[in-house]
Amino acid sequence: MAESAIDRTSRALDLIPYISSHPGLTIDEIAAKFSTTPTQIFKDLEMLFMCGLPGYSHLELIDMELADDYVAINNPQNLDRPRKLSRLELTSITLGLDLITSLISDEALQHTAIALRTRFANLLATGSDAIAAVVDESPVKSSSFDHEIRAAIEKGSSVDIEYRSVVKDELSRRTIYPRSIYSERGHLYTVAYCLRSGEDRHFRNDRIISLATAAAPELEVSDVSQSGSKVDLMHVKVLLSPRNRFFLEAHDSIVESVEPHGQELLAVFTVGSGDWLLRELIALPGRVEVLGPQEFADDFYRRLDAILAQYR
Amino acid sequence: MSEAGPQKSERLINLTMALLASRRFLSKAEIFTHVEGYSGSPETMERMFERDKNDLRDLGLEIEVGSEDPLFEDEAGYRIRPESYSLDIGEIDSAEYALISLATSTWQNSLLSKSGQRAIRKIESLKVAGENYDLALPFIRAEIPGEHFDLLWQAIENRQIVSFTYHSLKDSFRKIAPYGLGLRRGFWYLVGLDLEKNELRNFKVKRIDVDLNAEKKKDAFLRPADFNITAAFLNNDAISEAGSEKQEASLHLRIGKAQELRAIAQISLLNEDWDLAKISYSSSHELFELVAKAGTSAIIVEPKSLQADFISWIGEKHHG
Repeated sequence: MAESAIDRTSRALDLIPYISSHPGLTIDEIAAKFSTTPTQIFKDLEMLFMCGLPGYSHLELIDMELADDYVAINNPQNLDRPRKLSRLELTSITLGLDLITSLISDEALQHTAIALRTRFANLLATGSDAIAAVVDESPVKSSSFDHEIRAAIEKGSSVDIEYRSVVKDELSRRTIYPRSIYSERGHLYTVAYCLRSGEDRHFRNDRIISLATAAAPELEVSDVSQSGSKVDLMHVKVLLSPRNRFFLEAHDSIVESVEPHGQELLAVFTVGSGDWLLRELIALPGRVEVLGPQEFADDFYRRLDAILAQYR
Repeated sequence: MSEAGPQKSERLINLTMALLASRRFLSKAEIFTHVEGYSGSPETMERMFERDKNDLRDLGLEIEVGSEDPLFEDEAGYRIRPESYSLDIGEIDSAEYALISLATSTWQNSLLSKSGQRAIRKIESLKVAGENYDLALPFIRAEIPGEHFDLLWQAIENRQIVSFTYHSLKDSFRKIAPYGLGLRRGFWYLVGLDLEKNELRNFKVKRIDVDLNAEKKKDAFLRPADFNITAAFLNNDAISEAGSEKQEASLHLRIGKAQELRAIAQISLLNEDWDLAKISYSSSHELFELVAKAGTSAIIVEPKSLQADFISWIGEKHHG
């Protein structure tokens, strides 16, 4: 779809102060930063060459250098400062700060975050004018072993955990090498290499029942990179009702492709193990048709049949 | 017909620069003579300028209207004050910059995540003092992305009435003056005035059906001046979630299984294989998701109508 003149103007107005403050960037680098194509950036710059203050002599035009390997703006005229932040932009920052502040344990840094939030919130017209707010009292819940997990990440060491798996619906013991922590919907998760499954798994921190430092050997980096190839990735093809677009957005890291297919969406997921996906697909509203691979489709329909059989 | 293409953008930028450069109000005649890009009959230029002015306002620029000469007030002039145009947030140091970057990366919905990226580009155009700063904080995914966020945001901003089918115990059609959005435990809620009941209500956005529609008319209602989203949510007496009436269901759960359902149930022992679970629920759709995930470890027993709904909900997934 062709972009509107407004969107283009908006980007062009932001390009000038950005390039002025980052002289020597390549067009490719600028395109990546502005989430668009190098061709588009080139066209924007060509247009900006022609813009300036009334008079429009070389003294009044925006003066830039467009070389093969870099771009620089020598005279941005009066567009040297970035535009003020829009309400959406401010909301993205202030609400985001609300969410991360509860995760900060360092007191000084927490003060910095709170003061920063106030500075941005003051730029919003008035507090009561806000369109959106975080209404959780404590947006992210911490859990008992967060500290130990962070320590293990820093040291690259392993831990033995007892974990309540919701996918398998059981308690299990495993040795894991935590790599990173992230938070989703108010819960903390640990991404870790799991010795038992031989691949990276995600563990919700508050489902870890116990944790102890493990005697497992230090993991060589090569073991980890090989682990990716040990697991055969499966490509699951599914037809979904369009109301499940949110599910695809929420899990875009495993979505290989999505395209419209008549009234529905044809999605391909790439997963290491089918268990989790099987369970999620069954819980989606509306029509869900698994097209392949055959084995996964058989599992899916067997499970649906088994659920229905309980009511006969 | 609206213009597109580089000429239009070029003229908008030239107009912005001219209005920003002038200390006094520029009359339309001065703009048409001096700003590059205006041509044609006086009526054509007049129309172009009106559209351009609206476009710049849509971009968030504040165009001031006034007159230099109090005796000739009908000859309006225009300018943009530099202080209203540019971002003034003072110096940003590297720790603050790292916090802002992490804050804007928490969003999954495209409206807030794209706006966040734009904000970061603007802030990077200011001077960021100091070296890279490592926050050592986890990466956050703050929300369940839903399909309705963009439309609801626009409707709130433009004061447009919205209507939709809402899934709760019984599906109902609602007409709402939307006031605000609240994020709670990863889910967005819409707060608004239910126009039929004339009461404030909040709606879980995930339960709003795909028929969500915003009426064309803008500024269709006034939001009370003292309305505050956080207060509206925290004050549970004043506001209740629409369709929060609860109903109780009985389920059989296989012993040791169906952990997610157990978390919201009252459990008693039924026999050596099964527990009896009492669950109070306000949305059958949400309950169905959990029951489906539990597979053959959960059976809905009562009410029978809920059981029948679940059977057809599962059946819908089947071939054809």
